[in-house]
Formats: sequence, structure tokens, C-alpha cells
Amino acid sequence: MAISLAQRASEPVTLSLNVLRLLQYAANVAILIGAHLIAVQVRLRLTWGNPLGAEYEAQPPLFFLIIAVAQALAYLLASWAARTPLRRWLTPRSQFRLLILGIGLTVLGTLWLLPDLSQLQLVYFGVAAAVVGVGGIVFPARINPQQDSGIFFMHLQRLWQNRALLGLWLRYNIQTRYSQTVLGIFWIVLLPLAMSGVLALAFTQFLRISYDVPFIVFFLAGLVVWQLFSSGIFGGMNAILSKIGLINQVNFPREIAVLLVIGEGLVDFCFTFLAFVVVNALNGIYPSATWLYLPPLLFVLICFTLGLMFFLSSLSLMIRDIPQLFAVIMQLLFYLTPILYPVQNVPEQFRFIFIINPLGLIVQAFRDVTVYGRAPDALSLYYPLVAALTLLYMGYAYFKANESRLADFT
Amino acid sequence: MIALEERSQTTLEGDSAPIIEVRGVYKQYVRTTYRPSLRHEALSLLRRLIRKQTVAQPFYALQDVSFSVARGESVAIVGRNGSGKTTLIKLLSGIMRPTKGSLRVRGRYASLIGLQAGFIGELSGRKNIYLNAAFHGVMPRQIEPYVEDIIEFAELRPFIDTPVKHYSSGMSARLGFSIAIHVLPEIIFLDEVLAVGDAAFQQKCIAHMLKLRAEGRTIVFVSHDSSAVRLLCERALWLHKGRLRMDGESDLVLEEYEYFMQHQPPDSQ
Repeated sequence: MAISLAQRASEPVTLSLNVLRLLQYAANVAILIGAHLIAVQVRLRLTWGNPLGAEYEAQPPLFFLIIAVAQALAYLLASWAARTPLRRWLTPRSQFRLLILGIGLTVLGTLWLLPDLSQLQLVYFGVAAAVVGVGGIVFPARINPQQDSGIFFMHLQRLWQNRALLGLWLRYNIQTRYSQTVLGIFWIVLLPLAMSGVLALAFTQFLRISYDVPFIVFFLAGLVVWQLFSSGIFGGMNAILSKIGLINQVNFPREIAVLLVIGEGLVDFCFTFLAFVVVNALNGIYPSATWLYLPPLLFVLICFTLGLMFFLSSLSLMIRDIPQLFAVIMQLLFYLTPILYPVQNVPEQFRFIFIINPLGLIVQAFRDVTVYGRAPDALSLYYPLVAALTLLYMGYAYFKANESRLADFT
Repeated sequence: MIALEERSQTTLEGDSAPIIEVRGVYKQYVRTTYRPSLRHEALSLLRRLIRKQTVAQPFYALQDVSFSVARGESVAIVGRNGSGKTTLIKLLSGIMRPTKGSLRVRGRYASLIGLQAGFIGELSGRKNIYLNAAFHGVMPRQIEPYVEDIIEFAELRPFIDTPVKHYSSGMSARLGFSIAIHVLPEIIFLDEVLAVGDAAFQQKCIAHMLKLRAEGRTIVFVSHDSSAVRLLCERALWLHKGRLRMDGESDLVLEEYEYFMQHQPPDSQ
């Protein structure tokens, strides 16, 4: 049992430079492939330029090979340039230029080897790769110049060593929360049920909008997802603020305070989801094989929420206006996410909102799986997945870069 | 699984390198009159862009502090209020990071800062024992055999299942101290926690800390109680206005410090 390691945060981990570069290289390739998936998704759904539509064919494996080879070439070029006077412009350490070089080489290689590939598609790929790459690699390195991938893994290692603390704390928090009220869990389930009951009355009886499934089922499917997200966001903004006394007195990995919030949110989610299953069954919809998609969907949702929470928890400590601001933003986001209405009812020119908002895609996929019993559009899952992972990486890096300043802001 | 005691024995017989190394540490606090808000953030950003200067006045809580502590040494930190003692302890236990300079602590430590000692008010004393041990890097399974000893030492047996928010400051300080010594750390950082306990408990604590010292553990101890310092520490650091004014044998440092305190009225800065 390694206990002596648990608090040695001040000891730097020295990874050899080769390992660091290999990690960087792997991250670059992964990001380019993720960006490719986003590009395909955006290209399929948006009608800017010539839409690919139904006649779209999957990319040949050669494309992925080109990405890997172009990245390797970029690294070779960079390490060659580091030994010449060119090192003012390019070394294996200059991450942004390396990324741009890799994207450029990939685009050129594709134009040469795969001439039939749509050129608009390549433009989309380049833009998506630049955006995701800046988010995933350049931004975390910029906010904290000392933060190499090695330090990042050290943070994760320290978190892993403190997993017992996280588990224990979470258990105690849940115990106290459910034991304090008489009806306990009932309150958590009551809110979504009451809300959907009232809205069902308003939408189907007063407004007379018709849905293809019972409204209460349709709405609950969205609300269950939304509640997990919003409880994470609102809890996340309070996660550090409410524990500031503790943070001033004991040293523990601060992200545990944030993870506690999402842990509690997940426990609540289990109960509301159970209520949702019961309501479904009452309306004649039973679990089917497509429900196997739920764990990956939930994973994407949690990564997305956590990424935002890491940003908000440290920001709301430094700028106290953030919680008020987000009360408004969340209200807007609720209506910009297809929770109350199906996307099919929205005019064509506004559809892009639901493709840009990853949460909207997650909600739609969740509803497809649970209510309609059909597999979600696999391509539209890539984009939320890549967005969520990028956001999580960025948020965690930002949080850890500001971690040592948290105790100063009291 | 290696028992906590064996584990801690093996680490105590470590190398002879200094267990704490502090080199040229500065800690700067930004003195702000208002709570930072979006408006202030934006305004200060504007001002910084235009005049290239910071708005808030910097205040150094620690300036150029350097010292090192050998394994098994016990060191007291003395100084007036606001001289940076608590800041130093917070830096050592990793709660804050220095603005400049390097700081290195090798080994597992337990720190006891503030009267609440990192307890969560809603939870009972017993749950807080497990949680606090986990904060100090000790798993629940490892602390299990010591829980009864901790309760016994803190003299809290009738109250152990009441929430900590109902405890008096003396009670929570007792529990915090009891946990900190029972997780068997290599280094203990103490920040004036003994001051709230009654005389009998202070005697007990000092006796126990002497035992810990004899076992070869390192103690860093902030106190205004000079008799406790003389009894417990062979070495003392005197911090004055964020600078290390004197570092040496505790008798000598305390003599100087007391002389200074008598001839310098406390209100003159």
C-alpha cells in the first residue's frame, strides 16, 4: 500500500524528452483523427457548400494513414529544423506551428493521394483540426508553460492515489443528504415528475401541440439528461466556494471537490432514471437492446459536464459574477436544447444550433435510444465525444494550473 | 498490505538528506480592498493595458526565507502576529505555492492548521476521523485499528457520534491533534492548535510529542508558548515581518525574541 507517495506533490516527475515527444505525437494524431470525425459530421449536417447527404461514403483507411505519416513528417522536419538556424521558427517544442504544419502536410498529402476527396471536406477538416488542436494541445501548454504531458500524468497519478478519499467522502455526503429529510430520495424524483406533469398539461391540452409519443415520456427523456448536466454546472460553481475553509486548511487534490459534485449528480440521476423507466413502462415503452448505448452516452455527457465544471469552479472563485451570469445562460441553453420540442419541428435555417450544441445531440441520442428504440446516429456521436474530451482536457489543465492560487482567493 | 507502523518505521530510517528544504521563498498576497468582481476585473485589465501597472498593492507575507530541517529535528517558529508563520506552514503543507523560490518536503506529513482542522461540520466525529486520515494520505483500512486510540486520546468518547459542528473549539482541536499524531506521519506541522486546549491536555500533547520526537519524527511547531517551545524544540526560527530574523538554538532565539518583545511595544510597526 503506497501511502508515502500520496502527498508528494512537490516532487517533479522527470520523463525523458523522448517519451514526452512520443506522447505529444500520439496526442496530435488522436486530435487530427477526432477533428476529421467532427469535419465529417459537420459536413453531413450543415448545408453550407455542396452537402454530401446520403451518397456520402466512408473515408478510406488511406486517409488515416496520411494523417499519421504527415504528423511523423512534421516531427522529422521540426527536429531537423531545430539543428539549423530555422529553429527560431520551428522546433519539436513549438506546438502550435507543429500542429499547423501537420495539418498542412495532411491536406497536401490527401490532395495528392486521394484526389477524389471533396475539397470542401478538406477545408472543414483543416478548420476543425486547428480548433480542436488549439483546444487540446496549445491552450493547456500556454496557460501553464511548465505543464508538459508528464506533469499532467502526475496529476492523474496523484488523483488515483487519493481515490479512497474520493470514495469515502462521496459515501458520507450521500448518506447525510438522504438521511436528513424524511422522504429522502422521493424529493429528487418528485421534481422532474411534477414538472413534466404540468408541462404535459400545458403543451398537449392547452397549446394542443401533438407529439408522436406521449409528451411526458418525450419530455422526461430530455429532462433526465438536463438535470444531470445542470446539477453538475450549478454544483460545480459552488464546489470550491463552499469548501474554501477546508481548502485553506488541508492539502488534497482539489479536483476531488469537483468530482464529488458529479458523483452526487450521478446518484440522483440513477433515481430519476428509474422513475423515467417506470413512466416509460406505464406508457408501453420497455427497455430494449438499444439501451446498450446508454453507458457510452452517459460517458460523453459526464466528460462534457466535467470539462465545463472545471472551468467554472475555479473561475467562479476569482470572478464572483459567474454564478449569476450562468443562471441566465443556463436558462437560455435549456430552450436551445431540444428538450421541450422535437428538432423536426424547427425550421431548416435554425437547425445548425442543435448541431453546434453538443448537449442537443446528446439529448437527441438519449431520446432515440430510450424512447424510439433506435440506434443513435453514430456520426453525430463523434462530435459530442471529441468536444467533450477536448473540453475535459482543457478544463482539467486550466483547473490544475490555477489550483495553487485557489487558497489565495479567500 | 503493510501495517501503518511498519511502513512508517521503514521510512524513518531513511537517508540523511534534509527532510525540508526552503530556498529563497517569497509569498506575495495581493491586497485588495474590494471583492474581485467582473467589473473590477475588467477595469483593472483596462488600467493594466493603458498604464502597464498593477492596481492592487503587492504585499509580501514572506521575503527571502531559506532554511533546511534535518530528519528527526524539531523546530519551533516564533514571531509576532502577522509575521508570516501561518503562511510558512501553509506553504510547507502544500496548501499554497510560493510566488518565488523553491520548497521541498520529502516524506509523508500531517498538518494541523486552524481550529477546525479540516473537519466537515455535518459529519459525525467518527466519520471525520476516517476522512481526515484520508486527507493525510492514510486509507480507511489502515486507520481502522487506531480509531479507538484516537477517540481515547482526544477524550471524546461520549460525543464521537455527534456532528462536528456542535463541538467546541477545544474539542475539535483535540480531535484534530489526536488524528494527526495517530496517522504516524514523518513530519508534523502544527499551527498554534495547542493554545485552545486546557492545561491538562497541553501537558498530554507535549508528552506525546516528546515521544514522537524520540521516535525520530520531525516536528515543525508554531507557538507563542515559550515554555512549550523550550521543552520540545532544540531549534527555533524567528520570523519578523516576513523575514527570517534569527535561526538557531531555541534558548538563544527565545531569549532574543523575548528581549525584543519587551523593549518594542507591540503597537509600533
